[in-house]
Amino acid sequence: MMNSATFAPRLLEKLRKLLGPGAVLSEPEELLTYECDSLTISRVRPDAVVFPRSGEDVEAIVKLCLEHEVAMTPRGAGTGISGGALPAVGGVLVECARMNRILEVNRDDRYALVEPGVVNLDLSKAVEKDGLYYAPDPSSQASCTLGGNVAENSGGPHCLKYGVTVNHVLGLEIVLGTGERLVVGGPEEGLAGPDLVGLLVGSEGTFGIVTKIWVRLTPLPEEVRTLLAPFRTMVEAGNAVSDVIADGILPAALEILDQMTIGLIEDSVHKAGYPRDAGAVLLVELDGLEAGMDALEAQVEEILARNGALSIRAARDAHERKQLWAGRKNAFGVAGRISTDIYVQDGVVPRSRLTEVLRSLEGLGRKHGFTVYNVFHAGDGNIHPLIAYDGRDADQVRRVVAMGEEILRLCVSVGGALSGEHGIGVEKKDFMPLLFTEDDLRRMADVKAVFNPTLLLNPRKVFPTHPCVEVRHAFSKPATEGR
Amino acid sequence: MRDPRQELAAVLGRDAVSATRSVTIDGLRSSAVAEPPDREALVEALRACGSEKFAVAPVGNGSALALGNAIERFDVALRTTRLSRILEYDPRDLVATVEPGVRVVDLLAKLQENGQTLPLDPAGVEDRTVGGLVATNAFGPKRARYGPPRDYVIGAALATPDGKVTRAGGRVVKNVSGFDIHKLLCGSLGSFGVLVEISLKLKPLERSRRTVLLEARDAEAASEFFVKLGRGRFLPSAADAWIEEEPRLRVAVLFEESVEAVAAQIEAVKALGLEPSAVLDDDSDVWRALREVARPADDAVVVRIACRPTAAIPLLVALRAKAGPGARAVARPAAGAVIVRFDAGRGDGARARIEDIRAGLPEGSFAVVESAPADVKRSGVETLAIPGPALEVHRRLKRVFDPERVLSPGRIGRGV
Repeated sequence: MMNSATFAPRLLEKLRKLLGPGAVLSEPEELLTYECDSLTISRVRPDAVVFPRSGEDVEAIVKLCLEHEVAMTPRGAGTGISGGALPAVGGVLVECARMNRILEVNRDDRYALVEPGVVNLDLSKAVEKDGLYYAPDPSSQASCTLGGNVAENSGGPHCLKYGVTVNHVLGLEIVLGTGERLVVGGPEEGLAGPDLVGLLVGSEGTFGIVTKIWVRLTPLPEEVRTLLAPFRTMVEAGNAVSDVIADGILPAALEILDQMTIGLIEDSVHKAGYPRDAGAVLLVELDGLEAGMDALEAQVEEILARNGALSIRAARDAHERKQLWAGRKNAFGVAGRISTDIYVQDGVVPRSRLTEVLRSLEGLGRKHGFTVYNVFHAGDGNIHPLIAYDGRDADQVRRVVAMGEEILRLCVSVGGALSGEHGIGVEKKDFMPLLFTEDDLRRMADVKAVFNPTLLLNPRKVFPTHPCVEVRHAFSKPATEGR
Repeated sequence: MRDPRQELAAVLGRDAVSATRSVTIDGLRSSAVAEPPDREALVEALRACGSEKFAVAPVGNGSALALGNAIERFDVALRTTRLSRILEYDPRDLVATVEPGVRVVDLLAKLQENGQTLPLDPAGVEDRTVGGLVATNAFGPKRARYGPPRDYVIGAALATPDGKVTRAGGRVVKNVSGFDIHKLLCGSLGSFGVLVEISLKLKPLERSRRTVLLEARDAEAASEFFVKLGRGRFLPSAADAWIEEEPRLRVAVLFEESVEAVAAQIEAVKALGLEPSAVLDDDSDVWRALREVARPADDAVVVRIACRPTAAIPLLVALRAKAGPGARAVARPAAGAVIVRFDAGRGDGARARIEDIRAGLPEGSFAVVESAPADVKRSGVETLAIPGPALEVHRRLKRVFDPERVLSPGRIGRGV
């Protein structure tokens, strides 16, 4: 990283000429906002931030950076929590937020064409009048962008039933790390041959920068039922989840909050009326057709009661539904207020191993001297243990990092994975060898090199910094100086 | 070149290399058919093909070999059928991990015991293996609601000609760890490696299933019906249209939900303007016939037109006329597909008809030839219609997985 006086002056000049002076930042104080995304523990200041307005702009930016051998990193709203938008070696940060037009909405063919800077929830709001919505709903949906969602293959509470981002992307226009602009898929489904859309979604902005997205729109469900049930113990709540699935029911969402989290929420301004003495609260959302919904709800209530639900509250309208969800949606925010820093893990385990993993988490908390707050997507085994710590205390930081690693080892040991929806980014790259062999990682690196052969696009992500094995070219590359 | 049969027998033992049978792809006959008994043997057989530069095509039950461009060279058919174990299946996880040679119907039977399913129904599903289903990314009427196989593949292990086995994805339904190479393999026709393990996301089986048959007086009425079906409060699992007697169209709509939801939808769908002709509890013949329009065969041409949902019915009418008498065609609007099947016949006729079909498509639509005789393919018909820039990416990817181009050479396109 260098200051603006020495950073690639000719590149900056060309970028200003291309985009206009208002679309290029290079003064240190202007760059401060962009030195991290929501993984605030890792910070690197970019040398410049550019704001493209079109795919043509992005293509030109990538070509200029390649010509000057300067690293570039795409960014949406910076809500990612794995450091995917961190300019890890400085260079140019390509901020896509101004590419925020919904270019087309087609009600009867049920798709929208959007630019990458469109905010997730804004799309759903824009198509609501047509009886449609965009199904993937990450917690940050009020601020995260669809380009970022594509990069990270984002999920959300409702992906249990509706699938994650990749299941809703029909096509992409993407500027590859080679500078080539590629269109794959589109409103016509069923492209033959190897599934490039499936590969590109979730490539964490290391293969290319997405410039247009065709997304599938889903009809709004006719009926939604939300149930909230406190249980004496976490085991009971977990068993209720298992029984719901075993009964052949696929709810729209199945979320659990543990006792520690209930206490946090009830102590806050976001009080949701969750009983403090409960060991866990289970939130079940059912959606679909109106016909048969009463019977389905009764069936779920029976399962909850059979597993020891202390009570069952059912939301009767959108307002009540919002209330029941309030505690869940605010949990992380509330935790942020009781300590200077919070650390959220994002491991995944097979559903059938959930209760045992939660018990082990409690033990890990005791071992490392932290309280663990558990708020998680129980339906698909995606845990989000949250640890409150003080980032100013070096010892606590060391312990929280050690505990994070043990949590991931635990997830992998029961057949799970490192991340359910947040991505690997910089945060988890050194844990990749827990899940993948040297050969697996080398293969992934070689695939990346097809799209990003110079490695100048979004460097130092996903692959371990110090792989336990030597991997020739693709894992990392020295900082680029720029010419 | 050495004799593939002898070389493979040296690696696998004589029992695993057929002395009498052969497999034919696009008119080329294999010199050897290898049937490795387990994963290790398959990896060794593939490694031998790699080092001897034998052109090798992974083959499951061989039911979809007509898909793809004409294979350039073909020495060894590497059959996966003996790798037929379900490796892991805990119903509580709604996930199954299987070997590639597992027959789809066998897996479905096992899942059904636990009230679960894999909602994929391509033509010839009765004969397919899971590996073949994934490698072809083949879909049927139910794509309308459930999407392609790609959406169900959550992890895979892949053997490559360098003798390595690499993994991507995992065995959990929600996973963003690493790049999704397992999704890339969907539709790859065995061009990047041989799948040796596949993890699949499953669905609960719906409790009730019924089909409504309806008749439309003309294409306009049918088009309106499909728009309403998409806009209204319906969750059809499949909805197909076809023509028996012009200008009338027949429509079949499948509902799979709770008993109450199926009953309510059937009543409501009858009020959408078409004439209902039957409600079927046992609908398997109807859907089998609709699926089979797309079944690959040596003597038939099957063309799938990818289109927008609202373009499907007009295309059905136009294409049926172009495909000529005796052709069969089905529109699958919500899946974005119209499928046309006609006899290949002799001479240049088939090629001319394919070109004629392609010439009249609306902008954005494209036609994939899912089956055609070898001479039609070798006459220069580009079957898969992959756009040039994407094909170039596939060529570069090919160099990563199979730089010597021994795996299914040419089936995806030139240079792949």
